[in-house]
Amino acid sequence: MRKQDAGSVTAAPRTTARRSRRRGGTPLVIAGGALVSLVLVMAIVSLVWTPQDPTATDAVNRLAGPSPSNWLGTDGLGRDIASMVLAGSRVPLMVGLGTVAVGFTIGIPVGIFAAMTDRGAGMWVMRGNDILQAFPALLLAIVLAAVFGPSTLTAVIALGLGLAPGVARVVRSGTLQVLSREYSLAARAAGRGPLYLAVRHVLPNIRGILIVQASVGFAIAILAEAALSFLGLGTPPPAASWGRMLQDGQSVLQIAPLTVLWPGMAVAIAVLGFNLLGDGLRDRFDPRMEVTR
Amino acid sequence: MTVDLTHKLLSVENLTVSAGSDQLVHGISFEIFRGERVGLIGESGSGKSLTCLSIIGLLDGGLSAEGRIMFHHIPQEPVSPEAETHAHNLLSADENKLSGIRGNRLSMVFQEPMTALNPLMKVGDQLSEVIRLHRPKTKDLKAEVVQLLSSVQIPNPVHTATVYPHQMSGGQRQRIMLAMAMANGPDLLLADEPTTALDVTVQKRVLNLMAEQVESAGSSLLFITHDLGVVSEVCDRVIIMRHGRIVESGPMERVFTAPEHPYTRSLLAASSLETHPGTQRLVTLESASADEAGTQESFEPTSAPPPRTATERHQPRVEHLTMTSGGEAPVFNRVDDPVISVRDLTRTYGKPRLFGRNNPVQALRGVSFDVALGQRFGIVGESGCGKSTLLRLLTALDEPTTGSIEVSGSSIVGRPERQLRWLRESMQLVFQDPMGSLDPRMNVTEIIAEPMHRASRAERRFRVDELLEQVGLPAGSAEKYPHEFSGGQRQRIAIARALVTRPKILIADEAVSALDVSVRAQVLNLLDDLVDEYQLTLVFVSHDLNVVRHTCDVVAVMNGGRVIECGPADAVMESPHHPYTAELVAAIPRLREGAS
Repeated sequence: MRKQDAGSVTAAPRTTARRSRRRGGTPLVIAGGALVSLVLVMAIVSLVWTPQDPTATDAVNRLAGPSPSNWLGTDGLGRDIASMVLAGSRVPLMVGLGTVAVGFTIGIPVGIFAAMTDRGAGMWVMRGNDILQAFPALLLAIVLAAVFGPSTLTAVIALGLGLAPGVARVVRSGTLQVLSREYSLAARAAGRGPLYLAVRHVLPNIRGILIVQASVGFAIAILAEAALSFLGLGTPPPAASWGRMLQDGQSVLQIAPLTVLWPGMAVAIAVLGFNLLGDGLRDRFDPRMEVTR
Repeated sequence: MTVDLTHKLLSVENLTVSAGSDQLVHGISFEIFRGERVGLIGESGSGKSLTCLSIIGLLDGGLSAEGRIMFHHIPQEPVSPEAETHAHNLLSADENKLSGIRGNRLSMVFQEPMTALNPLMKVGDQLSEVIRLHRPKTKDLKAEVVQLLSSVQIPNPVHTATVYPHQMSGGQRQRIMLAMAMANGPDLLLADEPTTALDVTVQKRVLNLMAEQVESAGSSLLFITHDLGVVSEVCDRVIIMRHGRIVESGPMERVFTAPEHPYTRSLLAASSLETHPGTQRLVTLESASADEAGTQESFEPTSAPPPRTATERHQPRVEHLTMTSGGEAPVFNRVDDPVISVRDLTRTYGKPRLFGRNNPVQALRGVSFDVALGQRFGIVGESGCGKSTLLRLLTALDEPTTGSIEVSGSSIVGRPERQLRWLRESMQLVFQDPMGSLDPRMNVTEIIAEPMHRASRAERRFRVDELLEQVGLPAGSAEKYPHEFSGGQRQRIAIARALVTRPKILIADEAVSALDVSVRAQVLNLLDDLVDEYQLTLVFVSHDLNVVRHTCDVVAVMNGGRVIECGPADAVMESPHHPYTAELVAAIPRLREGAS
């Protein structure tokens, strides 16, 4: 699984050549960063300004093509697509942020705990983790939505729970690497407890792994949110959402294909951006990749 | 075959290697004649490995080499005047031509035998691949492989051909590498630190074997190393490099007995752990060149250092293990009022498992000894002898299977962490790897102050500044990060961290093994001073008997999880009782007789 090898404990840079390579962005990081920034700018702009009110319907002007007042045309209810795409960028970003927050809050402590007590309790924690990891996050989201009703919060919690086992596994392996280093031994020999080790040695040294995990988690969350909204289990109306725009457009796909093109492109750009960023950062943080390049 | 000084084999002409605008090797030139064995010596960063890689054409992508490296053909007729036309410039040769030469006329043995062999291929297959590549018509590959294996003294060559590299020891793997390199009778064998990763006794055997093989194949040898002792075992001529330049070259006897360049002199002094006659401090690069500049005196190497004074208080006898197995091991170095007292210590790794084989490893098998207050106690042994396990037990980072350890009269076995706080403050560790023992994400102040639990900010600052001065680091170091320091400086930081709580006992685990010889002398001097200043009891673990002899009063020799001999360092080294100790002492590569 690709997530598993996403990064490793970052070693200190050894050569000047390598250090300069780390400072300068790789093409992947630059491309990914640009796409992610685009989505971020869209979300921020939509907070203060959209071309039209994204929720205002206009029964006369339905399924219109692009025009000076409706840049990207209107949907089946006459809403301005450009405004909806802009406003719809907020929900995926929030879901991504929430998912990563939930996933990290659960996954990091579990991973570090499992690594520090590698025998006994830690082993059982990881087996439980494996079972959770085998459970599809989307299915969990559907179940939760069925029980608690569809909302952004249930989606975030479900997706975060889905992300946590992967995070825990990667954090555990990173922690084991840090713990085997002599500086960890030195800290233990200096009488420092496990909490100190975790905060001062483990976390700073696995931050590369965490950044990669966050960016991959974002991509997964955005895609999953779109899928949930498409199924009507994500953000409820009237808030704009790319996933629901896709669903709304599905019925008029034959007449007005542009109505699904724009939200579809938005989802693709966001997911691609975070994935590229994640891949690029993994290359930068993973010392093993240095050798092959 | 004797050295044939009429036929050049390789001539390096004005070789420069650069990384971008950085020049790493500055226009060096040297020659190797047929059948000659040349040692290329230098410390890390001297450009010796880059020179070697340029010759075989394996420089890293970011590096570029200029100049000429002429590889001369074997002249068909002994007196061929146009020998020059029979030469390739290896630097301008294309990949096709190079691959025809590599492994055939030019071959190489690398430092790390674990990574240089393909872990997924049987040893025999790897050997036959090399033969097939350059001699496709070879009929009986299997016989050839077995013959090669037996030529490098691999026991049971027929069986060995069918095992994988991980099933062999480091020394055996390095022999396989040697067999691969010699498979096609190369004209020139390049060896880059081939024995650095091996234990001394194994090193000795591999070196002898290499010298033999090169001799019988009539090959030339370019032997790259930082260890002058090793060079003196195998080479005829040496080239000394520093900062990408050749500082001295000449016949080994001459360079080692009458070195011309001050750097060579100090390198020789540092390698043999030579001490200043007056101060008894180790000669370092700086002190040697200061002598040079100040007094203009010719360098007078001292004879054996006078006996240490620290041993006067307690004069232990040499004791050694006589029994071969079983029975109760004696208590070594028994003293009345020990700081550390270890009794019948055993540690077995591996518990019975539900699945798979139950294969317990006995790392320690009944170790008993005392360490007296203020003593410098050395532990020597080769890899796998149990010394690292012993250290982990002494520092209560691991629990023994049976036995007891008392520090200052209180047991440290089976105690929960919070009852060991006193131990954590009174006992500190210095590790081998100056890279891995410092957290790359912490600055020097945070690293050094780590053991100070309840100290205020000002207290930490004060103590860190004080220690930086004591370990000889510039005051501006406090805010820097480990990667900004050299290996020797990092080891100083590690020592500062160990001393910050003013411990009573300092445990040094191969603390100077990863350092260059000249830096090693400086760090040993520093350690010497600090042990006196802090009145420490020192437990010094090393595989290097010379270093232990210099540093310690009492030495315990370990083998197979037991202490087999223990006594005053000089006595043990000069007249070892136990056969293993004798073997160990004999295996130390020494500068040749007459050399300082």
